Amino acid sequence: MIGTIGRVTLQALLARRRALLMLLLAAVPVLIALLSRLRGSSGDAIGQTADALEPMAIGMLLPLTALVFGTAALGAEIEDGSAIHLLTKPIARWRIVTGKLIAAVPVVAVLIGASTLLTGVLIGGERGAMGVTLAFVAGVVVGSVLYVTLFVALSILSSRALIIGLIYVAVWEGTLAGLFEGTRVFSVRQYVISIVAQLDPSDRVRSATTLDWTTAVLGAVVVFVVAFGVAVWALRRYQIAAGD
Amino acid sequence: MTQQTPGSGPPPPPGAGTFVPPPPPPPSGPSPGSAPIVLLRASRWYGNVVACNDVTFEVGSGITGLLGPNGAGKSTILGMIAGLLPPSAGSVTLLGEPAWQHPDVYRRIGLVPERESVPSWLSGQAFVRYSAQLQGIPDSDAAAQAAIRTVDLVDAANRRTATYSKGMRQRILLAAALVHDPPVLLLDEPFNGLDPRQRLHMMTLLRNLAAAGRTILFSSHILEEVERVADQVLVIYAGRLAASGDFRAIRRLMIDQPHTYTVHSSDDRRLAATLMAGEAVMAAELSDLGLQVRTVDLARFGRRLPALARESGISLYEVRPTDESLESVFAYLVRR
Amino acid sequence: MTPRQPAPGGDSGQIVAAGGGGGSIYDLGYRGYQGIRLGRRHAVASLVRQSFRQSWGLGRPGRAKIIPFGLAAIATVPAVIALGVIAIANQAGISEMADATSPIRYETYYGLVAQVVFLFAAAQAPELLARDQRHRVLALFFSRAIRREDYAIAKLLALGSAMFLLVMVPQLLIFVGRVLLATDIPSAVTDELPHLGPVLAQAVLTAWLLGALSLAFAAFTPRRAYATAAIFAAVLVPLVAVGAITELSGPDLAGIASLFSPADVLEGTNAFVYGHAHAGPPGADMSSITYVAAAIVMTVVCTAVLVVRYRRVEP
Repeated sequence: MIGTIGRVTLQALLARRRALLMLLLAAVPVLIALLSRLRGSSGDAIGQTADALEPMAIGMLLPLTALVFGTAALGAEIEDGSAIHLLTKPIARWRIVTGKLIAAVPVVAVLIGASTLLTGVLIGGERGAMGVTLAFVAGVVVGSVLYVTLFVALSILSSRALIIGLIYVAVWEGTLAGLFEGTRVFSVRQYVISIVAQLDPSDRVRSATTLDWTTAVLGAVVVFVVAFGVAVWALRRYQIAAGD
Repeated sequence: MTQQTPGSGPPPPPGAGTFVPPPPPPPSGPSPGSAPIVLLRASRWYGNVVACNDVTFEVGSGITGLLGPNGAGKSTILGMIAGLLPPSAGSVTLLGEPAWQHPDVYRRIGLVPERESVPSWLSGQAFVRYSAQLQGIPDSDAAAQAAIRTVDLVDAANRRTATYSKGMRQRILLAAALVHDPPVLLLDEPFNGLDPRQRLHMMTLLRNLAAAGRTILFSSHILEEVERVADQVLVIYAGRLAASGDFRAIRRLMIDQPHTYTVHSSDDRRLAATLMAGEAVMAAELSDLGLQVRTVDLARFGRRLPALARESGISLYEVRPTDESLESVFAYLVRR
Repeated sequence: MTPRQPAPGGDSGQIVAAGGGGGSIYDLGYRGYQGIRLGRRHAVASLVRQSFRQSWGLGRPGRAKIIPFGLAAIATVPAVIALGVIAIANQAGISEMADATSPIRYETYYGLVAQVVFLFAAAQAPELLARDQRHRVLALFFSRAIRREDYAIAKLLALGSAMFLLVMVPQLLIFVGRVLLATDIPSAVTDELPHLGPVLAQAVLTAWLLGALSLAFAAFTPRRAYATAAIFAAVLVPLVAVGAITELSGPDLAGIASLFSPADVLEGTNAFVYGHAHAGPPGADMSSITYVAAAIVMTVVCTAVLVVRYRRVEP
């Protein structure tokens, strides 16, 4: 059952135009890294990798891609009215949410993970930056799970999920987290960076965040559980308006 | 199945009084295992707008039509029965259980919604098979093919639903609703936008499905459709249940509305004069369609007419009620 | 039955024909319009006015006003703070020092509110274009005196004016505040007035560039959320990319890349109008006037895209 839902959702997510645009987006860091490779690289490989991957992969690529695929996984059906076919079936609501997640999370994780990996390898792969790169890949995978679950829940709660998600990423995680340290405890981006910092053998990423590792992991787990729970709860109470 | 409450007597005979007030709900509530669909004082409101107002009825096997103008609350009622909306008050029970927040009930009902929102990139076959898989049917392919055969869409089954006409989309939705062979079928405006041939086809389909013992409830605002297909009628107006049962029986209950008959005889004019001289007839009009007679007292008219005709030496060729149609019933009910 | 004739004077409800069978026809006074028709110019002006109101959410329920006015409020906050600082500094007699050290000046104002301005463009451009596409209203527009290009340019004028206000008003506030708080008002006016030139120039460049860019993206999809995300990405992705290129490939390449990033271009123009000869990523050594050229080119290209799109779109 979960597999069936996942399979059909996957087919829907990889619709031509959307998939192509996201592929293009994911190619941007790779192309930039390729460019630097062709011009010949020198200097602090680890530092360059970290300073490149953090804003590009975690700051830009991950939230945007997760936003697009996460809000589309269930949100697209809700918006065009075909969600009724899924909701009027004898399937527990948590199974439906799980089916959507097992389609959307791997799409995001694979796309961004591959982009991150390629970018990192191109920048400083043979210059000893592989450890940092792999740490970023791991962080990105964890981030995919968190962001996608968050945005799937959001898409059930509101029809304006995409814009709300954008405001969250731009204002909350971007500007406010920069200004007020307290908000960092509630920022998924900070959790991801902390996890990367923990896994990073070179300890170079450590300076990018002030959150300590255990808080980040705890926060991540809480966000996932709460987002999943909210999604199931909201789906149970979801009313399909009558057309009369 | 007309509305009957246990413990109250039979409805008063026609002519004895005015219309029958809606019966009070039974004191102990409906017993589980009784009619498949039971609404008990169900209401639904959005803020200040009451979409469904204290509605009580039961739906049994056969075809029942939910009739009402647009905005009367038909889709709201269907939505509550199908578990898409909770009632704000009262109860809506489907096969013994409330439908709201009970996904298991979907094993035994099929829903054909009004908006034909099928994922357009799937083929018809794939969509029905997907529905079968979600229902947990082991051999989803066979079930899908059987359902598609029932709705007569075998030729187009492999095309993407985006290429379907409106009638075809309705039918593929019906196939998806039938794929798990549910005993209860709910259809929201199933004849909307179908051309006459497609409508006939759908009607035949529904009759065949009902003949096998299913409970079918469909909503419509077009009187002829309901008249032709439904065994029982539920008339909804402004969120309230205005009448229920067989529409001819309802017509007979409308005793303050004169009945019109069309009579063809060997001498219409003389018959008209003779009838007017008596007391059973209120008006008689000669027209191209024959002699139109309006009477309030049906029984008296029925006794008097043959006697009068024989006395005057007039032969009666045809006596036909002209306004025993759902349209006149409906017009009467919404005029009140 | 006598033929129907309109009653003189067009009384409504007047029975004008009564047949023998009990039927009547009533003249309700409907007529074709025979009066003056205002032409294309008036139509375009109306469209501009209406779109301008749309970009601020006027004429729509309260919820539509939250984002534009909210963002405008946020953009005004630094101005208010600046005036507060000046007032207090004047009281304390340290106005010279406060002037020199305050980070909120005409020149730095753009950098402070840049993000807000981008968000405004990303949020409101789809408001102007998406509804007409979605509900197939374009056919109605194009069957009137308005030509297709007029529609596109009118929308640009409207959004551009709205964003011009967004950027100008807070800085005007600072100007007025400084003049009023000064001890010697006439001389304060002559002191402050030259500053208005650069403010105006930067506001114009910002409004047109971002207006054209966001409308060009919004013209391609009837779904507002997707358009907002696309505009957002169009600003964010090049910005981040330039940063990465600076880091990895050196400042010269980054300099060229920054000419394609709207955020960087506008920073460059800001530097130019305030008299700095050089701008751009550190070490790139780009002359600031190149950014002005880039801004103009970007605006023209986006406007062209917008116009061509509306020339070819199926209504």
